[in-house]
Amino acid sequence: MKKLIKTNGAALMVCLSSVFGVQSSFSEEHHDHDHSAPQPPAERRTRVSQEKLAEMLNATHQAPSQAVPDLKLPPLPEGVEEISFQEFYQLPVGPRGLEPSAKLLSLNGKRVRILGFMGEMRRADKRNIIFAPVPLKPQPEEYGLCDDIPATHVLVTIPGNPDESIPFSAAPMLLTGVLSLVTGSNNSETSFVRMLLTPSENITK
Amino acid sequence: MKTTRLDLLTTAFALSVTILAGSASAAPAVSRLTPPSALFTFGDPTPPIIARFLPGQRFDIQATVRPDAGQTITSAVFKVDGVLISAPIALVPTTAAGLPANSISPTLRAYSNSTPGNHTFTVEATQSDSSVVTASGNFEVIAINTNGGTKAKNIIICIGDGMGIGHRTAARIMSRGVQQGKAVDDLVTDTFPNTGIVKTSSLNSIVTDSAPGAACYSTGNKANNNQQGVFPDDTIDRFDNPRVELIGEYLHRTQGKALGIVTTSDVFDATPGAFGSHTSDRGAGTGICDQYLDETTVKSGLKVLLGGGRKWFLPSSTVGSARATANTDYALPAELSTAWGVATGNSTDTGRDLLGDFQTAGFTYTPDRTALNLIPNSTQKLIGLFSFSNMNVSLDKINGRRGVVPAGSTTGNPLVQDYGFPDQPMLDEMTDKALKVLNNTPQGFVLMVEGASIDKQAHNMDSERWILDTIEFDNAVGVCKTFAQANSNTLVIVTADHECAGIAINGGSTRTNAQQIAAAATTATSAASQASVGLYEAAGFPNYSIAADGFPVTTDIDYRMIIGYAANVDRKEDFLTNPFPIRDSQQPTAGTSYGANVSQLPASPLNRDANGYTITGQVAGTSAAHTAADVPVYSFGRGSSLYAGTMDNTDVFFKAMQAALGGAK
Repeated sequence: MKKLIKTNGAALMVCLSSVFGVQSSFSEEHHDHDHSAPQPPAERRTRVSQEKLAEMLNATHQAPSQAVPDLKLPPLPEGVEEISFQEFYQLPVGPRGLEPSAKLLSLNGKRVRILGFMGEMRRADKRNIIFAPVPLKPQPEEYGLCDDIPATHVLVTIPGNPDESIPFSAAPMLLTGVLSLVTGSNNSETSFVRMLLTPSENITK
Repeated sequence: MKTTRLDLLTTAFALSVTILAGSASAAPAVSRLTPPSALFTFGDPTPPIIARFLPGQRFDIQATVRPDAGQTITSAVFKVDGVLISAPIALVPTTAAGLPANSISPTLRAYSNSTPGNHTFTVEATQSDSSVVTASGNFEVIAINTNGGTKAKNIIICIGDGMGIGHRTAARIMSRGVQQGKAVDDLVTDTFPNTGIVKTSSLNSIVTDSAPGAACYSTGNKANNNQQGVFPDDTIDRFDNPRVELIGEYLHRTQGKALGIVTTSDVFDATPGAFGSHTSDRGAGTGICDQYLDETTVKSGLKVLLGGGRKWFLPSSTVGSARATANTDYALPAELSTAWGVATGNSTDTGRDLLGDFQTAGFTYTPDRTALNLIPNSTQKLIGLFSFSNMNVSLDKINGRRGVVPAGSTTGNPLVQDYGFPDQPMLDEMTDKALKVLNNTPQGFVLMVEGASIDKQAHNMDSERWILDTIEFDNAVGVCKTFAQANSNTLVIVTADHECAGIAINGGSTRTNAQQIAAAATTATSAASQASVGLYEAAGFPNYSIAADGFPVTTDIDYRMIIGYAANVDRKEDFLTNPFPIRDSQQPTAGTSYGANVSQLPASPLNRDANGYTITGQVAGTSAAHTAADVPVYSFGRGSSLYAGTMDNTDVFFKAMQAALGGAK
């Protein structure tokens, strides 16, 4: 794999123009606000062959960046396994639907812990929330449930007074509960992964 | 005489009193009459006539009648030019908020008129106390010149979604270059012989969205924002609105032509949806995709459907399916399905295997570029669903092919690989295959080709991504031009549904790439950043090297092109290529999660460039907006001469139909 450019970080990345000098129309000595005497490029329109491009990309290849440091999570309770959203499905996606990973399948019916975001939405069933890897604000009453909710989500049921809604929180949440895998829609939702929180489980923000 | 603001207020007050007095004493009232007309709304019968139709083009006539308190509407009739229309009239109960009890929408389905000229239509509704209310509107049937010349057998409509003049200019500068004041080379579209300007307003706003913006090209009529293939009504049902026959439906019914839809978006999206569905809700994905099979294959001869959006086609028992009944599926009232001769639909069929049903109906399915390339040209029907939602954009697809990993990636993968779909075709590749398949229909075809993410990335103010998508779109136009050169009775139209984001090419940077990176990290102030934008002669001629695949080697060159946005929101800007696109929650994995178990992709333009300087937006929200600016139209081939001058967006439809029905030089 090759890395082409670093675009929004510090000035540590190597730019193709400085490696090969094919991009710049002007001198590298050029300074800000000094456009009084631009020099025309050597070619009217610069074309780069596929072989040259490959050479350039190889020259700028760099190792992947280090992962963003994980949030410091509390110790995993006994009997609980951790799973992250990116571990749900196999990539690349095949010719039809998503294929659950072996890890996800192995956790069916078990207590698991997962970090994510609570979807901000009004729901008829007040004890359920959509839990996702990104902040969400779907508007099911206007657009239907499906379009703004990534397939990689968990429908979480929180036992309690059915007339009492779960208060929304924008902060990342760490949920622990019993995971279940369900095919087919329920209440017009297509949530393959579901979780039941028990009263003894905590929601950590 | 000078009119003062006080005069206007006084006049407004007098009018309101008149209206109130009138409503207190009148019997039933007609509050809506469809098709829409200035005659009904303003009492003005003069041009421009709002609703126009082809000879014989089908449309629904509808009124909303409000009875007096305690009364009901017992019957209604419609007349055209004073002559009673003999057809069933359904008294549809209104369900929209704000209407009096017992309000009714008398509806006459699938009417058509073959006599060119202006026509007046009238509703006469009778209340239970025998009082009668009438109201009139007008519409026009467009005359087709049957001696126009040779007919266009094939019509290709290429829509660069959101593509205004600025988008094209930027694509030309980047991909073709400008030196000594002249473009070194032309975009394909630049070579088209005829050019016009298109006015884009929708039925209810100067600023359209993509649904009516595209539907005007498929129906010849205005629609409300968010609505396609229909006129507005007073029910909350998303699929029962008064319909207008689509270009594919009309030409399949009258000439046996086939229809193709090719897009880089989710195929349910507004622009493709406008060519194959009738709904007041552009977001009703399950129903729109169901209609592609239930109606469009039958009524429009749909033979090619290529794009993203696989999630709508999988049964809910398949992981990743987005099929839902709540607000997104369809079931038609019997009076509508009977009159139009279409399936009633099923609003609770989440378990439907729509992809399987397409295959049963004879469609060959392709899930990726490799399979697409292997499709024989003799294939009669083709469906390709290359992602779960919108396809990845050109910049990320090209980087995927080059094996380029986004800077800062923690996976070490090209972005398309992290999205789960590493083998997606480019728009020109899809277009090429679509043309080969459609060309098997002897009667000809209508093909809509959409460069969807020109708009989506302009919304995100992600300059390099929409520029590369504009280049990709122009490549697809090139495929169409080549086809038209080999098949002379083909009309190619290139236009947009609207402009997006108020694009301006402000100049060229006064900085090298290294300086740009350093400046973004150390001098993220407005003054310093603004000063780096070279204006006039200081802009020079940004010079992008082009690789053999036709795309820039890199977009982060020294002295790069600088883009500005008028309809912008608050954002951080550093004038550097964004390594990652804005997060798209519609993707099945919402972008791959990293490190802290949340997506690495930026959530919005405001937190995309951590080191950029803040630009205060002129509109609210998190994405740039469409504008009311005119858009260009270019034409090539049979009938292209019709597209010179300034025209309404609905004219684009009628000019194409002149070429198809009456011929053109």
